[in-house]
Amino acid sequence: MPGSKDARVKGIQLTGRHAWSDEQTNAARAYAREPNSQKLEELRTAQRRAAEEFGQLQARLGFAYATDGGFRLKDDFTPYVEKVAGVGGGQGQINRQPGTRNAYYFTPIVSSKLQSDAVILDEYLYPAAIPAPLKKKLILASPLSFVLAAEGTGYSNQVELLYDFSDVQSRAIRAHASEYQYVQLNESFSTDERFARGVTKDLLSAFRDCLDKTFADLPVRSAVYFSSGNAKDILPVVLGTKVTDIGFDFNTRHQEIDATIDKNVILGLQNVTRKLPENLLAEEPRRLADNARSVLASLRITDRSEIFLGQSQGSDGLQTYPQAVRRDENLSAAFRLIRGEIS
Amino acid sequence: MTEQLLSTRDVGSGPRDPAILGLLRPVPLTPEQVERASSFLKRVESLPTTAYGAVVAGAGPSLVEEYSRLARQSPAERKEASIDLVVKIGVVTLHNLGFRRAWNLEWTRSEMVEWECDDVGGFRKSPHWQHSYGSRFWKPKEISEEISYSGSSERHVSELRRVQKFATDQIRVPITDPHCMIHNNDNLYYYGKRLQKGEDETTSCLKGDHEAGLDFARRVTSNRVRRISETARPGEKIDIQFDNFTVTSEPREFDLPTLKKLGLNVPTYISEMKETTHSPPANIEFSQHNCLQKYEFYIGYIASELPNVTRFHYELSTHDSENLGLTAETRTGQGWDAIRLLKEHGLGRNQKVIIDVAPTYEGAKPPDPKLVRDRILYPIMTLGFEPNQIEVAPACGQRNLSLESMLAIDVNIHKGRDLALLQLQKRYGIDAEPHLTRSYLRSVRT
Repeated sequence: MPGSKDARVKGIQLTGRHAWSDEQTNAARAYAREPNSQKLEELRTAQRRAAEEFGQLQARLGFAYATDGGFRLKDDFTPYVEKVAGVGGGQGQINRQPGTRNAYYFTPIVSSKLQSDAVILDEYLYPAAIPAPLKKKLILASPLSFVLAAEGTGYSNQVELLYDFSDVQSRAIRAHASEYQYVQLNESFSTDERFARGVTKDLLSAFRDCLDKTFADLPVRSAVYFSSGNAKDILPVVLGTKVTDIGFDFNTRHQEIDATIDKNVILGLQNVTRKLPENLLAEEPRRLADNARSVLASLRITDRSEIFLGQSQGSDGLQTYPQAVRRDENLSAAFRLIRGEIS
Repeated sequence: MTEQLLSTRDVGSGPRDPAILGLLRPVPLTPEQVERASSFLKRVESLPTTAYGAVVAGAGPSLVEEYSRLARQSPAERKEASIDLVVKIGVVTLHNLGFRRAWNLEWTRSEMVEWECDDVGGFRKSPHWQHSYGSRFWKPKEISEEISYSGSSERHVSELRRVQKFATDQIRVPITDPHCMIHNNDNLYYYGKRLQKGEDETTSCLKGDHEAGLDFARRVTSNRVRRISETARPGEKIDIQFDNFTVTSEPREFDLPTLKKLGLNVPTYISEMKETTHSPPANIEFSQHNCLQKYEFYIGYIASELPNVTRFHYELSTHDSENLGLTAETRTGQGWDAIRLLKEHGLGRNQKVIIDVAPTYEGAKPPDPKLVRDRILYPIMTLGFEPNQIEVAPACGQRNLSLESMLAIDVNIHKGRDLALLQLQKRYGIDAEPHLTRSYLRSVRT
């Protein structure tokens, strides 16, 4: 019988990039082998088609907020590495994405003061792929993740870099604010042991300022999603901001959350870093629903908070396409179980 | 054999330029490829090393002549001879650059996980792609039944036999270690077995990986070591290098309370390495190369648990500053943090550290030899390692470089190594063997 927290579970949503279909992958590989305008056009066509198919899938599964799959992003930092003057490194050194096995990002190399106009995201977004009446969600890297991942000698002060990056990102978000109802920033570095040592009080304080500035007067729902590691140290900072939603990875790492959460919550429950035995779906809907209830019971969440279910690690892109689609379907079924729509 | 002071080695694969690897493909080489390869080979044969002299000097046709002859043949005609020549080019290139371990720049391998599954039972290839980064994708294999070893293809052995034809230095055979093999394929069988026993997901993951890794170590890696030992020539000692690029991707494997809960004394990675290295054949020595990791997770186990692994390569340079100096302020980044921690824990009696002195990412520039010098001297003169505990290497990604960039980077590594030797000669009064020409050393002295 659904309890009070069950009734507050409002829906499901993607929290990161989606896995690529084989058609899209083959087009990307063909372009990488032979980079010419024809191959690029074929890649763009495959990406558009993949985004549209993913939009239809989200509609069919009843996603509360839908994304374009993030298929144009090579990693979390692609638009900044490719479009922001002062940042480079898109073809250079790679680093392992926190909490993953064989997923990497191109390290952003900051060589001089950041400069950009507001259109840096245009090339990477495809909101038209999301069918009406689905609400549209935009997912980007958090400014703090960018600063912790970045290397280079362009700034001697990380706080200054954080403010400048956040300013660039904020202008880019505002340029697209009318197209989206929800903006999520993924924070996967400050929660990872490898990068957490670089987080200072000044940096956290600046991060709080940046979040408030980015979302002040912006008519969208907003979220910070902790997509790997343990969020206990940074959680109080985000709880003190105007951000409306907060998300946690509850699967790949143990979370030590000791705070009352007065924001809407996304529970990252599906372990996307681990493929499942075909004959033993550990994340079959009933088990997912039980996990959701168990996590909810362990959290102190205020009564007015809405709850959503999603993937751990913030990215379906760590799986093969069929596995990702199967998990999307399981997530949808788990939600309907919790809501009592199916039994 | 007496080891050279500050001995150098390559640890990874070489540039995958079609001008060289095209010899192995069933398509004709283009004139541009032939020209590029010839230019590269001429440079290889005129490298300024004096330690041994160029290995091919006065010994039959030059590499350029051999390459030109095969390039004129059809792919079908040259097939077998091409494999030999590609291996020879790799071996001679490393030798002439001054590296003291022989291998083939891994030009006969496609990558380091799937290639190693060829003679292993229990793995089934996924038909679907998974994104890794940029435009790179992979098809993860699935472990769908118990791991076994067929020994049918013995790719490592046939590679070794070819390298033996050309090597004058000690041979280094790279093998992907059991931990890497399990963690970079989807471990469905062992994971599922645990889940069926009613264990929770975390326990199932950790125990399933542990069991699979030990099976791989006992049934596959140990057999590979044995076969390589059997293939060594009389008096020859082979250096088996274990590679891993994801050792610490699952931090829970190194978490002490978790280990205790699972009933393990040491992390799974260490158990697997112990299982593989506990009793090496007399003609085998072990080294380890792990890409940039949270080395601190396992550095405390090296001396006590892995006494038979004698060399440990640490990736440092990509995250190090480019400032000259021998202080913690100039030698920065997580790789150096690990080396400082290693000094606290200490090395075993015969163990050495291989310092990565030059980044090899796509677009990397040749390092200033003085910077190489300082990266070599910092652990000796500041941290207090003995000179004979330090060896030198580039980072592992030379496959990301052009042929010319590889040469430029590796020549500067050896210039830096010689500058470091000069400093050590002054400080310790030792007579160290330079790699490079005496004219280069005279020029830097002045």
